[in-house]
Amino acid sequence: MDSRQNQITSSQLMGFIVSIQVGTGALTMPAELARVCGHDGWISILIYGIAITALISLIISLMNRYNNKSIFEITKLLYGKYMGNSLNLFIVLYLWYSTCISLRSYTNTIHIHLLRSTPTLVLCIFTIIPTYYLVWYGLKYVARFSLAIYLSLTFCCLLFFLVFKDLRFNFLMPIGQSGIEGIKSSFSPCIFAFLGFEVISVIYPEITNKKKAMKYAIGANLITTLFCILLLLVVTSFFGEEMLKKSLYPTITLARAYRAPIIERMDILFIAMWLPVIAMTTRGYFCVTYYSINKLLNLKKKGVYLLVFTTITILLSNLPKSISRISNYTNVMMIAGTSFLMLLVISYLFSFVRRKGVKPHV
Amino acid sequence: MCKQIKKIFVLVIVIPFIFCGCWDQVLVEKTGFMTIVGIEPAPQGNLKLTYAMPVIDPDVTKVKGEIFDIEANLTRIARDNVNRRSGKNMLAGKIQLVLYSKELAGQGRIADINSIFERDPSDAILAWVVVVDGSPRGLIHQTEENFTDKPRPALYLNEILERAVSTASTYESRIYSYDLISMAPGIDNIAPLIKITDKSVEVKGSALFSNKKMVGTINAQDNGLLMAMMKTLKNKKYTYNASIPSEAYEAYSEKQTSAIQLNQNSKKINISIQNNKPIVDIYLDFSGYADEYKWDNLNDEKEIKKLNEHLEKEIQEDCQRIIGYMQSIESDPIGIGDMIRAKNNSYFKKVEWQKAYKGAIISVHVKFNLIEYGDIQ
Repeated sequence: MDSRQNQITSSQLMGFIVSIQVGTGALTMPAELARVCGHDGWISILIYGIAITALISLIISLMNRYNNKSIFEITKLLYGKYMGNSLNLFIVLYLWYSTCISLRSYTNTIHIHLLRSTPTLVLCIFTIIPTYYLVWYGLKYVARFSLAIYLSLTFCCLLFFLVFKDLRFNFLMPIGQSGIEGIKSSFSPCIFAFLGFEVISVIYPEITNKKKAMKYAIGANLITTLFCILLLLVVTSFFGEEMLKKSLYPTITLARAYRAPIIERMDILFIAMWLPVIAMTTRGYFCVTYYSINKLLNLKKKGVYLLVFTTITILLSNLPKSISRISNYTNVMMIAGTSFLMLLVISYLFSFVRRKGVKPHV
Repeated sequence: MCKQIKKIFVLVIVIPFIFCGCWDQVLVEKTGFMTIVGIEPAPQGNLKLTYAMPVIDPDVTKVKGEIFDIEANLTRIARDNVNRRSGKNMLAGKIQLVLYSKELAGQGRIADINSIFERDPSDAILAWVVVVDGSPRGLIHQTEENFTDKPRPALYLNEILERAVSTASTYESRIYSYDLISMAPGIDNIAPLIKITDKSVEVKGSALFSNKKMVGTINAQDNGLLMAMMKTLKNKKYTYNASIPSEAYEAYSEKQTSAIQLNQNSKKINISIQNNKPIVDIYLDFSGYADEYKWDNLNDEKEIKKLNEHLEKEIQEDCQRIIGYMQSIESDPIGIGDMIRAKNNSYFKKVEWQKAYKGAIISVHVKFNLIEYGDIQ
């Protein structure tokens, strides 16, 4: 990839982060939160959203301490060559793993709701073609395309508006019933819903106007938090806690339950509008993973390596054979993601102890 | 600027094509669209199912629809069995009505049977859940074979149900709403109740449920008042059949009753717990339109005041009677239990709601104001 083809603006970064965060998670998150903290999921999202905002500002502060360096270079400066390389390998594997899992979740959603008889492998191949095309040109084009997320979010908000008269706000009460226990146990679905912002640490050197990066990255998280809260309030007050616990994709069921004149099956239109959103999660991780591998190994033959990378991703994404397996693999992604976040926090703190490479007067 | 508008225009046209995927091939000529399913209990826990589907084959002109009767333990198995008999591949995505027999509703099996509609995304969860007073199979056969002056059964039943909902004669109950209410604590379901009469199908009112089982019925007239207590009467054309105050002066008419169209302005429910008993006050505010009344005197303020007071009392008594009946059968479609769960959660957790509901003191307070009376006095 040409270095200029990877350069993105802060506003593109915002769209890019939102598109990775809101994706498959938005479809399953309300049900998962209902199972662990009942109707108080929106409170958990609010609390974790604030915590993630703090984490984002910490990540960008870490990046600002070094001169135009990504986490791959920072780990080497902080922990030495061998330890740094091992950590970099972990980061790349995590990103790759996330790509495969999000691709599998995407094809699974299509498989259940749209194309039941189409083999998963075929769905994977067709899903990855536009991603392959965009990644070929670079991060800039993926980030530009990710701005389409706002269109899908607007459509989703329109759906919320349409079902408003059917909401029962009593289903949201009593507020805070799940207590501290509920907030604690909602850690994993909430973190999974917000994962995606950590890519900032990888692509930070590519941001052209870094001064605004903090503002836009926090803005991205704010959009995700507000959207998730709105989604939870609507879905919970529509279905109620008990029904929500039994659902798998309540957001799609919400679209199925709306009686639209002329269109009739609103869910089909909703899925059609939401498919690019789920695909963007895959696309975002796919692009960042390939970018990371390219940066670490300094690959020259783009055509060959991108094809190999794509093929392996498709094959790996086909490993989980059932929904419960996907759920298990998703848990691993959540644990790996949390470990990555912890690494970033530790790196920030450690950068005050080991100041090698740190910009002076910072 | 013009170029930008052109680009946006092209984008708007192209987006729907990009965002839409391809579906597995479904040939309409080879597909049979089920529109009505009738379900009633059969011996040994089985189900007696009746499927109705319209015939859209241009070669078949004598009949409007095709009916399949089958018995199976599951609806999905029944559909597969029917597929072995049908000339076309049967699809359930267009089901508009699921008719349950009163007996099956009484056994509390509706939510359980509905699970297939929730599980299979290709099935419609917007289909009506309707209780039939009698046999759904008989009703489907009658409407298909004997009602030659009516539209296709699915259209006909759908039409009468929608009209009944718009006049508050029954409550709109769809599969998704039925299922979510049957799972929610402190609130009970209510579904349309229909019965076949001589040459038509009549919406009799609504079936009332308690703890997933059908326990009683409410007629179409009372259903409107129940809708008012559920705050779903707004924008509905509900005509209340009221008596005329005995002291109303009238020289030209001997009418003893009137037809008043009620509009619900507001509803408020106050709940408190006193001596471990829920005390519930329901405040209803109506405005009305005299559709049918005696010849004159409604331009007189005193007469209107008299009528308002009379109607307030009558509606209040009727509401109180409906509440009393629902308490006796332990059915809570208003969701008083849900409100107590939301506001007095510790009390709700402590008691068995069905029993507490039976002993609750529920009072209805009605405010009525006649605002229009048409073209004569």
